[in-house]
Amino acid sequence: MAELIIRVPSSQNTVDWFHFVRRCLKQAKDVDSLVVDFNNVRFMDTDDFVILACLIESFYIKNCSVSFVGGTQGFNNHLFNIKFKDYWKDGFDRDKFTLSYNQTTLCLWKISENMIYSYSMYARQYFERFTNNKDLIPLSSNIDEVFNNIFDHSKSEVTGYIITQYYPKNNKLSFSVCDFGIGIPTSIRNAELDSNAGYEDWKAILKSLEKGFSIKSTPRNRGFGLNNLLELTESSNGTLRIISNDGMVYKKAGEMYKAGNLNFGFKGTLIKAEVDLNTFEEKDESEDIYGF
Amino acid sequence: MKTLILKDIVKNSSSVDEGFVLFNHLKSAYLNGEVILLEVDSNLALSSSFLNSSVGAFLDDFGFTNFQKTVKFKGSKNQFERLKLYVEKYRGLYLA
Repeated sequence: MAELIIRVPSSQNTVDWFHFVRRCLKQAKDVDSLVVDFNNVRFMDTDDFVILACLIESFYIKNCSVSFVGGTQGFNNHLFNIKFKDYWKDGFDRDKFTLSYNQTTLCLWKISENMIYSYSMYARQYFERFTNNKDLIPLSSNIDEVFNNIFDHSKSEVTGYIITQYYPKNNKLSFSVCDFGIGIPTSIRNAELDSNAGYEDWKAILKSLEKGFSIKSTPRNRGFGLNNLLELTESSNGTLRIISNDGMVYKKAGEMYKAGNLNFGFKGTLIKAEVDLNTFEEKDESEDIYGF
Repeated sequence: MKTLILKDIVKNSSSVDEGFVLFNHLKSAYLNGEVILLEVDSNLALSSSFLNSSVGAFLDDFGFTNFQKTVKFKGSKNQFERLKLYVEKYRGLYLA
């Protein structure tokens, strides 16, 4: 039995994480048993969780068993609370929504076509408890946008993973979504639109954020999805970061884009959005009749 | 005016397929010269995929003026403003 031990990075350095993914995936063939060694890891951000989940999934879908070792006590408590290790246990229903033991974290969740529409609804209901009557529909609909993008464009074998985290101290909420698909720049280049010839990866990501830009991988794509997400983070004093293939784009509300090629060689897309719930509108239960 | 309660006619308000369901209702109403009062619950998130295959498809096929004549909205102001914004964006980008 071929066993592979992967040592999870202790740093939150993005470069470390993507190099870690590349190294591991190079060794993905003929592995029967994957051991995920958290060694000295004390903390992982939402990005790190979804990247690691996709990585583990890459092995798991090839009938690899998964086990976990290492990590500090506190960190393992957190893993228990968000049921991270359960996802690759026999008998765990990965397509069914599961609540975490941690009040401020919505469970890591594997994106599946059956559950896609319920997750955003659960997320909204879950976090409404903290929001003092805010209207979280924009959050819900933008989680749907990201999911739909994965199914429309990514061609990802592992579909993807999402985790949503609430930060009570500053009333902010963030979600990270990762897939190991072809990546935004690659899908744009594959679409062979003349205007996209020779785009650098970061420029392709920027292009994908434009209102109305679409590679029309399905007949009804109209290029609103990622632009809607950008508008949400802009209007909610938030941030949006997209890493895909070699490109990275970061946008903080009210500031200029930071973008460039970072040579991650990442075959996939990682999106992290953070919003300030203080900026959301109050829930509106009124009912009236309107004309367009 | 015929009332159409959105949550009763679609399984979700996120997918393309369910958008087509709404589109067919809107199209039928238009072709029959009816006015629809589309009732949208304040807890429904309307994704762009859903809207593209429903409202967007209607705008493509029959135009904004006919959309205005055929569809009235019943629900919260927040929901109406979101849908109105979508229609405006779509018109700005895709309708002459």
